[in-house]
Amino acid sequence: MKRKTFDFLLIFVTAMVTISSFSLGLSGSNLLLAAEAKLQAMVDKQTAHQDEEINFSIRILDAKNNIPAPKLPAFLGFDTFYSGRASHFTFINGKSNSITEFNYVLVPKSAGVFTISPIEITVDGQAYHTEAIQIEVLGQQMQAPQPVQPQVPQANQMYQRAQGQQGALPPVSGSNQTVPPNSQTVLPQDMDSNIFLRVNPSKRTVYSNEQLLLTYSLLTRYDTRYEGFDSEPETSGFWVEEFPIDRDLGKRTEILNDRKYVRADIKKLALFPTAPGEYVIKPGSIKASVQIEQAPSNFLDEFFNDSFFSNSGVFSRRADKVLSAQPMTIVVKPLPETDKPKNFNGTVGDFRMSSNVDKRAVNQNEPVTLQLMIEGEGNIETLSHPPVPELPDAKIYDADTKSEFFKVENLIAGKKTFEIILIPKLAGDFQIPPLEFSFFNPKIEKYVTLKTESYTIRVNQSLVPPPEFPKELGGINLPEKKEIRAAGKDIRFIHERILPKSHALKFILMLFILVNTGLTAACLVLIVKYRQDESMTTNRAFRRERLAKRNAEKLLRNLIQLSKKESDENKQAFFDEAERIMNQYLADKLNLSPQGLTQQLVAQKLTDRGVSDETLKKIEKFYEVCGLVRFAQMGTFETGSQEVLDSLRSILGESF
Amino acid sequence: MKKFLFVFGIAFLFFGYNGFSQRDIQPLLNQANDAYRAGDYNKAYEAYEKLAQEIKSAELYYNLGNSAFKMKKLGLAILNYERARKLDPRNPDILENLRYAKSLIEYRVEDKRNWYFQELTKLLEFIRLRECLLILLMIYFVLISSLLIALLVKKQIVFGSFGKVLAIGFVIISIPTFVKFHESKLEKQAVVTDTKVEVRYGPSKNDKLAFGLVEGIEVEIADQIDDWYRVSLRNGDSGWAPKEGLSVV
Repeated sequence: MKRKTFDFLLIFVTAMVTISSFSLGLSGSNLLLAAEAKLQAMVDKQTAHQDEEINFSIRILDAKNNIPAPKLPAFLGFDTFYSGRASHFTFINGKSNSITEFNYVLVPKSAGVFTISPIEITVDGQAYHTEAIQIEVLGQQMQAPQPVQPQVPQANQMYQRAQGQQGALPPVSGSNQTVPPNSQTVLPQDMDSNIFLRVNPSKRTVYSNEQLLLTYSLLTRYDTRYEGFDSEPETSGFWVEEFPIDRDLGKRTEILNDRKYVRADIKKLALFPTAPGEYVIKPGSIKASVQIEQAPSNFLDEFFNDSFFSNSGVFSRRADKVLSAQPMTIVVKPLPETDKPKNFNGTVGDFRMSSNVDKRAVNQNEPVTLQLMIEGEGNIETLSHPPVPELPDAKIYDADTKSEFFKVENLIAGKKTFEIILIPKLAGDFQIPPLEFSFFNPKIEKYVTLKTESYTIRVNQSLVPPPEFPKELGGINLPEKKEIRAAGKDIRFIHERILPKSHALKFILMLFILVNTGLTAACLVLIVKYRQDESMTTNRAFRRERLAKRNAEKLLRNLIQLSKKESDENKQAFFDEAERIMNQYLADKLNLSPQGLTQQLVAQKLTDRGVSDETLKKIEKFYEVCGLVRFAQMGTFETGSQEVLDSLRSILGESF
Repeated sequence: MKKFLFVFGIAFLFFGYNGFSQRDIQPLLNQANDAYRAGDYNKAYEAYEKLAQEIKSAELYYNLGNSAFKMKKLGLAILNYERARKLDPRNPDILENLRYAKSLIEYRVEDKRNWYFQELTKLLEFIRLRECLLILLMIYFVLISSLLIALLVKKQIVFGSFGKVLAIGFVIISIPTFVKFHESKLEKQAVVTDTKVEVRYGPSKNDKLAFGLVEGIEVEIADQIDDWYRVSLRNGDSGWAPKEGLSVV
C-alpha cells in the first residue's frame, strides 16, 4: 500500500515538473523567436481558359502556432476546391523557419478579367492580408491540350487507348473536347485532372478461361467520398468473380505528373474469358462526391465553418462527380491443341489435388466416401471433379461439393471439395481407380495432369439392401434414360390359345365349405354339451330329477333278475328292493331324502306338482301291495311280484 | 379316411368336368384365329361366338372383343371385354384393350357416386366372387378352428385378441363379398351396342325423351317391362331404354 502511494506521488510530481518546464520553454521560445509572420498568395498562371484549372496557394511563413485552413471568400466566376496543405519546418543555428501552404484549385466558369480580393487570415492572434491577384480568363479552349506523360505506364496505356489519338492523362482542361462521343456516362464538366478513375486490367492478352484482374482505382487530390457504381461494368464473354477488397481500399499516395494523388482501389474483378476472341470491356462509371470550398455568408455558416466542423464534411457543400474510364479490348487466345489431355475439360489455372477415403473396409451395399480436394488459382466456381470411370461393381453418387475462395496476391484462388459416394455391390476387394484431373497452366503454358492415388476397399459380405439416395444426387455413370414413346395406339392382339379352366378354386371352396361346416357342427355340439354339463353341475336338484328315471330303470333290471329266484329270502328281498327303488325314484324326482320319505309327504309334493290322482293311487297301491306281501303273505309270490313290477314300470312311465 | 378321399374325388370330378374338351375346340379356334390374322374379322367374330356358346372363357370373350373392335363395333367390343373381365379380372391385355376401347367413346359419364362406392367398385373389379368367398372361408376356417381348439382344451368359449381380430376381419371381408355377390347375381350391367339409344322417362315411345346414349356406354339395369329396360348411369341419370339397343354383360 505504501509502495503504491509512493509510486503515485512520484508520477504526479514528475508530470507537474514536465508540464511546467514545457510551458516555460514554449513561452521562452516565443519570447526568443518573436518574428513576424508573412503571408503570400500566388497562382500558377494569371491567364487561363474557361474551365482550365488554376492552382491557387496561400503561403504563410514563420507562423508560430498551428493555423487552420483559411476559408476563402466566394470568388465570383470560379468554382473553388481545396486540395490540401503542405508544411515545411527548419531549425538552423537556433533559428526556426516554417512554411505552411494551403492549396486550392480554381476553375473559371466564364471569360473576363477577375480579381481575387485579399484574403484575411489570423495568424498567432494577428490579422494578415494577402495581396489581390488579377486573373484573365479567356473563352473556351479550342485546341487539343498538350499531352502530359504520366509516370505509371499501365495507366498511360489505358488512357491512351481510352482517349484515342488526342488522349491525355489526365485531361487538364476543355474536357468536353477530350471526351470521345461514345462515353455515355461521363459529363464533360466532370472531367477533372484532380480526380479521375483508372481501370487497369492485369493483362491484355490471356488464354481462354485464364484469370484476369480488373482493378478500379480512384485517384484524387480532393477531399473525396466514394459513393459506389453509377453504371455497372459490361463484361460479356467473361465469367466474373468479385475480388475481395481491403477494408481501407488500399489507400496510398501516388505521384503523377509531379502531382500528388491519393489512390484508392475501390473494386477488383476477377474475369475468366469463356471463349477465344477479342472482347471489349466497358468499365462502367462510379460516383464520388468532393468537398467545395465556400465562403461563409451568414452567422450560421461562420459558426459551422469553425475548424471543428470544417473537416467533417457534414455541413460543407459537396459536388457529385461521375467518373468513368474508356472501354478496353482484351484478346483471348485459344488454348493450345498440342499435348491436350483426353480428359481435359477446359480448366485453366494452377491447381493441386489431394484425395482420401473415409473407410478402408465396409460391408456389402454400404457407402464409402471418396473426398477430392482441388486447390489453387483459377475459376474455382466452374470447376468440376475429374470423371469417375464406370465401375460395374459399384453404384456411384455425387454427394456434396463445397467451395471456398481466397486471394493470393493479385489472383483469386480457392479450394473446392467434392464428395463422391461409392457403394460396392459385391463382397471382396473393391478397387477405386486413380482419378485424373487435367488443367492448362498459363504460367508455364503447358497442360498438367494430376492423379489421385488408387484405393483398395475390403468389402465384407452382407445382406443389407443398398441405401436409397435422393434422385437429386443422381448416378454418375448411368446415362440419362429416355422414356419409350408410343409410336401409335391400337388394341392388343388376340389370345390364340384357350387355357384349360382351372377348377382348383372351386374345389378349394367346396373343401373349405365342408370343413367349415364340420368344424361349426363340432363346435355347436361341444357348446351344447358343455352348457348341459355346466347347468347340471350348478343345479343338483335338476340333475337328480333328470337322472331319476335312468337310475330307477337300472335298478329295475336287477329287480327283474331277483324275481326269477324263488327262495323265501329272495322273495322278501324282492319286495324290499322294489320299495327301495320307488323310494329312491320319488326322492330323486322330488329332491327329498329317501330316508325320511313318508307316504303323506310324497302325496303332498306330488299333488303340489299337479300329478293326477290316478298316478297317486298307483303309487299308493304299489306301497300297499309291497306291504301286504311282506307282512300278510298275500297270495302267491308270482302274482305279487308281477303286480309290483307292472306297477313300478307304470309309475316310471308317468311324467311328472 | 378312404371314404373322405372318395367324396372329395367325386366332388373334384364333378366340378372339374368340362363338357367341351380342349381337343374339340382347337380346330374351330384355329379357324377363328386364322380369320382374325387374315383380317376377316366378321368371320373370326362368328367363329369365336360359336365357341363362346359352348364354353365360357375369358380368352374367347377377349378375342370377340378384339374382332368387334376391328369391325368398328365399339359397343360390342366393350361388351365382350367386360364379359372377359368378369371371368379374368386381372388380365392385363383385357384391361388395356377395355381401357383403350372406352377411351374412344365420344361421351364421358362422370361417376357422381360417393368416393367410397367408387373405390369399392374399383376394388371389386379386380377380384372375383369366388376369390372373395375363398378369403372369407379361410378367415372363418381359422376362426372356427381356434374356437374348436379352445373348446376342446379349455372346455369353454374363449375369444382372445386374435379371435377378436379374426372376427372383425371376417365382418369386414363379408361386406365387399356381399356387395360383390349382389353385383354378380342380382345386378345386371349392360352396354349400349347400337350407335345411338334414346332413353325416355317411361317404357314407351310416347314418353318424353330424357337423354341419349352412344355406343359403348355402360349402364345398370334396374328393372324391365316388356321390351324396355330401366337403366341408370353412374352420374345419377336414369330412364327407360329399348332392349334392342342394349346387351347385358
